[in-house]
Amino acid sequence: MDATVKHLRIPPEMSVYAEKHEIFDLFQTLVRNLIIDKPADPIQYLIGMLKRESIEELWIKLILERLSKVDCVRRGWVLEAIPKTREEALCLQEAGIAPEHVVILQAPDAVLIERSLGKRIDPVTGDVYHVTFMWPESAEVAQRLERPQGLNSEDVISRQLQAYHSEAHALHRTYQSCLKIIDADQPHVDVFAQVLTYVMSRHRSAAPHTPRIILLGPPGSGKSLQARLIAKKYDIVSICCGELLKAVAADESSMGELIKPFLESGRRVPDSMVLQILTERLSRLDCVTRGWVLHGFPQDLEQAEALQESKFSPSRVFFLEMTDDVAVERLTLRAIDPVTGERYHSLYKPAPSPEVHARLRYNPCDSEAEVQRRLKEYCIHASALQAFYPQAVRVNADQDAHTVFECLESRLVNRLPKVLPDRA
Amino acid sequence: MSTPREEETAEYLRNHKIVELMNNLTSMLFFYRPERPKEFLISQLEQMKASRDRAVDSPCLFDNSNLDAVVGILDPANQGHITYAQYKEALKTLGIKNFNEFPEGLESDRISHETFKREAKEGLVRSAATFQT
Repeated sequence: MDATVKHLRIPPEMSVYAEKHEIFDLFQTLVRNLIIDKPADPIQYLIGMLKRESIEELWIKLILERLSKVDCVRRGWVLEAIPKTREEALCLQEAGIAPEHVVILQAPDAVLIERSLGKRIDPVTGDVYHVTFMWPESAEVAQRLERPQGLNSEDVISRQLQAYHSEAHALHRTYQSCLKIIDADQPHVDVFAQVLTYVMSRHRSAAPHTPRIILLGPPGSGKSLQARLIAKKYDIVSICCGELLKAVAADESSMGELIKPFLESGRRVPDSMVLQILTERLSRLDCVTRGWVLHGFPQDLEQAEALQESKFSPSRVFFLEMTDDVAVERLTLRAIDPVTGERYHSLYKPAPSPEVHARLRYNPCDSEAEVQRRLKEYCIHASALQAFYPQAVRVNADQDAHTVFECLESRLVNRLPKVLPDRA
Repeated sequence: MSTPREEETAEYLRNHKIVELMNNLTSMLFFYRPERPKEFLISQLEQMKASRDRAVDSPCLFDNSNLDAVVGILDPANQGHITYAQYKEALKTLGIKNFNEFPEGLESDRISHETFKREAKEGLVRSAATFQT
C-alpha cells in the first residue's frame, strides 16, 4: 500500500453492513461469473443472476418449512427432482437439509427421449403408461389414454437433457459421499429393488465397536478357518467351543473334572455347563476389550436362547451355507501329514509326493458316516437357528476362503442394513 | 506475462466498464444499506438499464443539493467563483475522472459555480453510466 495515500475513513456502519449481508462474497461471485461468461449485456446478465439467487432462497425456505412439519420429521422424506443445480444443493446444505442417501437414475439419452415421447396418461386414474414399454392391460384403459399436457418435441427434450447433463456433473460432486447411480434402463421393478436396497443400507459409522461374532454353519463350511482369519486381521479372540471344552477338561479344575467324563464317553456336555464355561471365558479381559468370534456354539435353539439371555448376545451372526455334498467332499478327503503337520486335501491340495501321501492320516471323525451324522445333526437345528437370528448374514461358503472372508469382512465392518417395519 | 485469455478478460472489463459499475453499485449499497441488498441491486441495475436504453439519467449518489453543498464548502465567502486548483481537487474528490481540464474561466482562474456544477454533473453522469457506449 502506498504510504503517502491517506487512509480512507470508512464509517463503521458500512463494514458492519457488509459483513452482515456478505456483500464481498456476493460481488466476488458476480464478477467471477462475468469474467467467465463475458456476456454481451452485463447489466442484464447481472440482473438475471441476482434474481436467480433470490428465487432460490425463497424456494429453499419453502422446502425447509415443508420438511420441518411433523409428518416429515417423524416418517422421513424423499425429495424428487430437487435440487436441480449445484447452487440449489449448496443452499439446501446451508439450510441444514442434508440427505442420507442420494440416488441418481441414469439412462442413455436415446432411451430417455423415447420414453418421453411415448408417454401417455390415463385421464381417469392418472396412471402413467407408455406406447411401447408399458401398455395397459385392459383395452378400455387403452382407449382413454391421451398425451400428457406439455409433451415436448424431440429437440426440446434433447436441449433439456443437455442442460441437465451440465448440472448433473456438479451435483455428482456435491453429493459424492452418499451418492449412488442406478441404471434406469431396466424394468421399473428392478430399479425399485436396487434403490430400496441402497436406501436401507446405512453408512459407515464411526461408533467404536467391540465385535461379538458368531459363525454358524454345517461341518466343513470353514468356520474355524474364517474365525482364525478374522481373529488375526482384527485382533479379536477366536473361540472354538469344542476346543474350549477340551482345554477346560485338561485343566484339572473343578469344572474340568465335571465335564471330563462327558468328553471321554463322547456324550454331549450339558448346556448349563457349556454355558458356564463359555461365559467365564467371554468375560475375561481379553475378550471384553478386544472382542470375540465364536464358532461351534450355539448348536441348537436352546443354546441360542441361553446365549441371548446371558449378557453375551452377539452383534453379528453369520451363517456359512453350503450344500451337503460339498461338505462331504471337503471333510472326507482331508488328511494330515503327521511328520510335518501340514494339512492336505485329496482334491484341493493333494499331497506333493507319493511318500508323503503314504503317511497321510485321516481323522476318524472325517469318515463319511461321521460326516453324514454331523450334517444331519446340523440340518435339524439349522432352520430354527436361522429363524432365531433374523438379522444374520447368510454367506455362500462354497467359494475359496478369501472370497468368503471378504464377504464376511464387508458385513462386519459396515453397519447392518435397516429393517423395514412391518406394515400389515 | 498475461495469457491471451487474461488479456481478453481485461479488455472485456474495460469495454463494459465493469470495475466502475461494481464501484458504483457498492457505493450505493453502502450508502443506503438496504435490508435486502439483492433486491436493491436488482432495482439499481434495472434503472441503469432503463437509462441506457432510453437516455435517461443513470442513478447517481450525488444530486444537485450535494453539489451545492460542495460549492458552499469551496467558496465560503460566496464570491461566486472558485480557483482552478479547487475545481480540479473537488472533481477528483467526487470521483470524476476525465473531467474537462479547460473549463470556462481558466485564464482568469475564476471558475464560476455554474461552470463547476455543470462539469461536475456531466462527469458524474458519465461515471454513473457504467455501460458500453
